[in-house]
Amino acid sequence: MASCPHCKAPIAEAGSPARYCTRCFLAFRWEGQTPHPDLPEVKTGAPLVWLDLRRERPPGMKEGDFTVGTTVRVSQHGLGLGVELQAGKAFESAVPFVRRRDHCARATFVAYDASVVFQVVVRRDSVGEASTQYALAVSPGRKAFRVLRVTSGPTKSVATALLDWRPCQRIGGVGELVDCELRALGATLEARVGGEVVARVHEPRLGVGWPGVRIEAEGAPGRAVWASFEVREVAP
Amino acid sequence: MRPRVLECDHCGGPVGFRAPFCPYCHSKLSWDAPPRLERGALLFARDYRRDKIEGALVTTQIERGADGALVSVTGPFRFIETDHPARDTVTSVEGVVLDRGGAFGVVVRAFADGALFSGYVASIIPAFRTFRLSRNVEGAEVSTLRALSDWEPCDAVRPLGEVNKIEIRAADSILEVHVNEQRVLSLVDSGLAFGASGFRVFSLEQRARVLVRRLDVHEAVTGR
Repeated sequence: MASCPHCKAPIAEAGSPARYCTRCFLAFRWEGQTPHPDLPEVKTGAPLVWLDLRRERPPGMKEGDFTVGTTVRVSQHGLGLGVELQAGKAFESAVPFVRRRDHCARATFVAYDASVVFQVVVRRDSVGEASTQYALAVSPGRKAFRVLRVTSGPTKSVATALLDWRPCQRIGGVGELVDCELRALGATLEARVGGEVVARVHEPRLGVGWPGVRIEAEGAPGRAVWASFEVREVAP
Repeated sequence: MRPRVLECDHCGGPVGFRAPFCPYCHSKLSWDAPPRLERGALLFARDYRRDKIEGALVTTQIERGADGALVSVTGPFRFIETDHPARDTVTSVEGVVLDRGGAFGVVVRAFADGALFSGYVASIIPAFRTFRLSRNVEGAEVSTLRALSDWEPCDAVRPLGEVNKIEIRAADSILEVHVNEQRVLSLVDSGLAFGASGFRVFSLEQRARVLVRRLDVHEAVTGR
């Protein structure tokens, strides 16, 4: 008997080949006797948020230059919001007013150091002092991306790679503008770089949350400019 | 056979409750009130009089006897049957709390990122005859939750020393809690959509003992 390529549940045989897993609801296309994931394209709909960070801030963020503790410095830059990070530290911004199941988040940024990893986040949700989210992590230093599910507590954060580092020529290197987007529709996450689909994954666990970004510096201090942020509904 | 819940009327594809369109055939969807959920086919069952509770995550004292697994705890302990994750299930746990501070619950849609566990937990405290539904994140010195329905008195909960059965019926974002075959809560929450089933035992004071008898997981189907 065949099994679901995602959750390994047995696939029921009822005359014709099953089109969906009855446990995780992955859709299949069959090649001979083997089921393969058949993930829907995620199309964008009406805009919900559009931020040009050259001249405006995300809702709720203070104006002017400021620091977060002693490890993150935020300042206005000609291209957008400048962020300077100490090694191993991160800056996060989110739009919790846009809490919903299906949405698309798109951001542009420039990394000025190879240590910078920029994440565009969807379905971020809080659970007491903890949070969960999905993220498309883009590393201009590596010219690569990965897709993550992250659970964070007050003192510990764990990322599970749904798709681990994958080289991508569409990611400009350090000093170049990168356009990255993560779309969530049902159990499908669709990652785009430069407007082109670079990955689709089936990930049914987290159901709802809000969009945002996270900028982090891995192993060394890092500087980046966050240039724009756009959130859209999904469309049929 | 009764229908599985939440299928697109047009193509049969799986859809989310209150989703505006089917992601597969793009048909527009319309919704009424959440349907009532019932037990469908049995997916799996564990009888802890004979089935073992074991693995790397078992960190507390458990004695298996003729009546079930006697779990003795000072803090929270959970056991997840990780081999059978699903979205839409009716999951029940049957047990007996033997000490005043003891409590137990059923866990659905559980998964772990490293040592951090997430899941929905419906819990009862027989000594106080109360229940709660929460979304928990625990492990690695983290223990936090969001109460979806905080502790409420519930006549369906039987007192200390008696058998209680607590059940979560889940189909996409539709959640129902049943205690001893009485529906005590229904709500819509989209936070967690997929994962494994299990149980959770905890103590409010000192060491407490809970006899866990069985775990049953059925398909969720629409009620009539």
